[in-house]
Amino acid sequence: MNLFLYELALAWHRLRRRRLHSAIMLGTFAFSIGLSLFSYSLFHAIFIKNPTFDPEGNLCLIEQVAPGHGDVWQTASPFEVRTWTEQQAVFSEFAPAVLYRSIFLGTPDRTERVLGANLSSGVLRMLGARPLHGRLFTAEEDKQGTAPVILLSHRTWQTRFGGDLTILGRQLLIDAKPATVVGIMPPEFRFPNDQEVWLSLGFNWAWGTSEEAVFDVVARLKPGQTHARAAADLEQINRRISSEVAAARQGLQPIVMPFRHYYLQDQLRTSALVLFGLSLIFVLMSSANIANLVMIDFIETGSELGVKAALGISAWSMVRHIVLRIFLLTLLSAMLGLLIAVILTPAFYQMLPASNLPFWLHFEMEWHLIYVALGLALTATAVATVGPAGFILLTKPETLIANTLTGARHTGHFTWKRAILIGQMALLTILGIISGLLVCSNYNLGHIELGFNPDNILTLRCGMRVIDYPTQAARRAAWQRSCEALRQLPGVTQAVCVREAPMHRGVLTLYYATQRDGLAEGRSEGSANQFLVTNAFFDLLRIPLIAGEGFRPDEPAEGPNYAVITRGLAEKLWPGKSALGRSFFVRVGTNLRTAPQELIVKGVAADFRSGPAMGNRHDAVFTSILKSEAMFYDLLVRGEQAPPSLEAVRETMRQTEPKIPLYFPNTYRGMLQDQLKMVELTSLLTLVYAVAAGLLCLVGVYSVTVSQLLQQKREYGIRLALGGPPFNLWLRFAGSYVANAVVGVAVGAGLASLCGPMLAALLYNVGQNDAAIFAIISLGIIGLSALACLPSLVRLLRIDPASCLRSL
Amino acid sequence: MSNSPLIALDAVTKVFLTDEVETHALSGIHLDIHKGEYVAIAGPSGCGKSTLLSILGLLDTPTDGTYLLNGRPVQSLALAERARIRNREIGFIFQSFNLIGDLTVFENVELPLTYRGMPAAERKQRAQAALEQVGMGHRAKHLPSQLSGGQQQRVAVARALAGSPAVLLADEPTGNLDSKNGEAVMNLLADLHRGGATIVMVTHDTRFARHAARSVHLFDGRVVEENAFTKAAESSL
Repeated sequence: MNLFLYELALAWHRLRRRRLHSAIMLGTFAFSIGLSLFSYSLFHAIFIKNPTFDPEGNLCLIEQVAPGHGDVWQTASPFEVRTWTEQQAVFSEFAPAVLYRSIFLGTPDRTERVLGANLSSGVLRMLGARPLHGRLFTAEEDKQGTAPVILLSHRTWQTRFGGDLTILGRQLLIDAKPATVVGIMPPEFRFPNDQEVWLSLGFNWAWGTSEEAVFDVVARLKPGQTHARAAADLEQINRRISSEVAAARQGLQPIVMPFRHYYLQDQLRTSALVLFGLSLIFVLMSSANIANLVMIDFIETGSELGVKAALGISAWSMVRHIVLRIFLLTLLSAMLGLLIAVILTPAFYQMLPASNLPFWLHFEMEWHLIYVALGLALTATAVATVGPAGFILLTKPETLIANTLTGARHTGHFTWKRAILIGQMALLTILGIISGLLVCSNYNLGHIELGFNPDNILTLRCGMRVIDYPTQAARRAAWQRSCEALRQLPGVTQAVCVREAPMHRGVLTLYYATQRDGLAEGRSEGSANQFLVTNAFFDLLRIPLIAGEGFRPDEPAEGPNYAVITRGLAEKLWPGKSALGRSFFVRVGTNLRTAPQELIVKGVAADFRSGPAMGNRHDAVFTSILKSEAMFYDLLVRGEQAPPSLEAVRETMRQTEPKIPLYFPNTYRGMLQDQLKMVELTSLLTLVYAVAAGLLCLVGVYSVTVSQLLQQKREYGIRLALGGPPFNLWLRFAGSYVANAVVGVAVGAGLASLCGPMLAALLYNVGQNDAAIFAIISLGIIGLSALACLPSLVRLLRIDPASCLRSL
Repeated sequence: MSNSPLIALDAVTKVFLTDEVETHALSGIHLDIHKGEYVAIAGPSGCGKSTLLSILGLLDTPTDGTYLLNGRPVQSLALAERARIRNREIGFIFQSFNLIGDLTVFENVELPLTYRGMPAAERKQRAQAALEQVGMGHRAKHLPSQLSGGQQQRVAVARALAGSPAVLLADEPTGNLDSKNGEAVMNLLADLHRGGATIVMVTHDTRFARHAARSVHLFDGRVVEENAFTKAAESSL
């Protein structure tokens, strides 16, 4: 023990004596461990960590998809759920729910929109839910038509009802219908996200007929079953019952996925995967870097080995000294890295739009992070000490002593070091190219030509209850009244109701054809984004109408359906001809077998970006919102110099239409930025990785070149003595390293091109194999490595041939 | 022997500063060496022999004084110019041979010529001739580690000769050799001298110093004695 403490103290003193060296190693490795732990934490939260309601991670979500339209998800009908429940053999538990509902909660003074869900008694049982007060739902309450009952979340009970227990048994207005509070859930019960109210399954206004598709299905796989097998099982059942379901639901393919995927967008998962992959590359690079720095230290203190050997210290003891010193350093780095991760990770989550995140995606200091940090420290120690340890163990003691006497400093690991350098360069190239692609994509996204003006616009989501606005005429009057009132506000130039706002993630999709039978059997000539608007919409967003006219403020509810379409779509439908007065057919929404609707073009608008920011579909069809059945819509209010005050808009709406709840307030710019946040942050982080990796490589090339020069000091002393011009000598020396860098860059560029498909979801308007980015990054890295060779020139110039030769 | 010396040192001093301590390695050295002379610089360990040789070989610069090589002052030339002169005018023979282990015997001899930008054919011809001159032509493709100490030193002499330098500087050329091989190397230098080469040899061994025509004794960085040896003087005529 005493010996160990002595050696530990010795290691500490050695690190202190070589402050600059130790500081470089400590800094680079702490930084890389910090970034790696951050990426690991994100990866763990998204791919490994189970939500509290699913500790085993075997909960599944079942949705359906129409063949040929993989992005259109469909829920299950009561008939399908009933049949699946009876016939399936792969799930141990199986129960329906409606996982996302915007609910209007009526309190004595106002109506508010809250997040809710319909849960069956089976889902609550599956989750092992226990009420804090009151009771859960019964199986009877799963049935349609039973008395509406609700459960309150602990937060809602505390914040909205002041923790008053007498709320139990009382009735609240949910979507204007009285529902009895039967239970209050404990604070730890959160499902599927931060729902405030849970409704019984029977309390579902959308549940009209047994063919109405309303249910998500939550299930638990039997041990040994896979998601694919489960989906195949349900598909077989679907085939058996195809004659019993409506034509529109025939051929639907069930999808069984881990429940955790419900709230995690593809973009988030891809980002986590990319960042984790890059962090692994980064750790490898920094380990190699430490290895190189250790080699310099080892070479510079090489004569010490001979002295130790002469003193009878065993090879294993010498190895132990080195390992201990490096482990001490990497351990300190791991502690610092942990600190970096603890600061960086919560800050990252803070930057993401909260509405897109599941509640379990947050940073927690857990033991596994410490284990990973320790693992990284051990890995780095192993990588860094393998060279020196190998040399000591494989070299005879008398050779070590002879080396000391003659000053020879051969470690015989040039090939090994060059291989590390080539590997480092390859890894840096991968990082650099991925980062370059993402940064370029991010730049493109930030400079999208929108074709409309999103500045100074406040956006709010609105909803109408059937009980308050039972007819289309009532809703129409409300839209007109509220927009008119808002236009009177000082500084407001325009206000409109629209479903949905252009570039919103939830824009509606329609499929079109010039002939009615062009939409038969799920066919179409293309798809476009659909917007329900009033004529003021074009004025508010400054989208010019380039032909024909827009909608009249008093567009009649009956009569032909008119549409305004964008120029690009008009050109696709009737190339080279005027679209005005022509009719075409559309099928709206996800149901591919609903009857096509005929639209007559009355106006053509300029092209603009209408689909989500990362999307490629921007053709648009506008129809009048006054003729629609829309209950939810976006309110857009444009200010003169800045977005209007939210409070003023709320107050005006309160006075004009007090029964319409307003939620999700944002500016239009903010809404667009939120969509791009994940891509932006991923791009920023990869840039940080790439810059850090670039610095590591600078240190790497520096350390390898300097260590080689130190090892070849004698040879260069001779060459200088023989009249070798120092600069030429250096050019030849550095040239060999730049050649290594070129090899590494070529290997890295090849590997980076293989990573392209994984990045596709994060790239906008930039090819996965963009030649310019590949070339710029590759040349930059080669230039960087040439730059990192410069210190070796200084070292070469410092070689004093006289003293060098004298010492030999 | 011409009247103007090949090497002329005037009041050359060299002071090393280490940890604020001044060490006077050389103090006011005056030394003229004419073309074709064979001069031994002798003296006890630490007297400044190697420092003097480093200055003569332009491996180091004097702190003070002037150094004329072929009538040209060289004491304060830039690094690259010193390297150029070293490459063309000076041939080195070191105590520990200082051959590059990764290069063959031939490549070692050829090395200084490559820095002159000499055409390959001429380079190879001169390297081969130098190896033949020292009797090592048959070992051209060997690595230094495959040779004995005496053979390695002969290769080092060939390397020094290959460029036809104005002066050969030998630093304890027999220091790492046994007496037989030492004697052989000294005979080789004597042969070269007889062929017209200018040689300056540092040695602490008075037996070998007597191979030279003239010996310069240093003590504490000063020239304390100069001798001319008849046998060598005769042979130099």
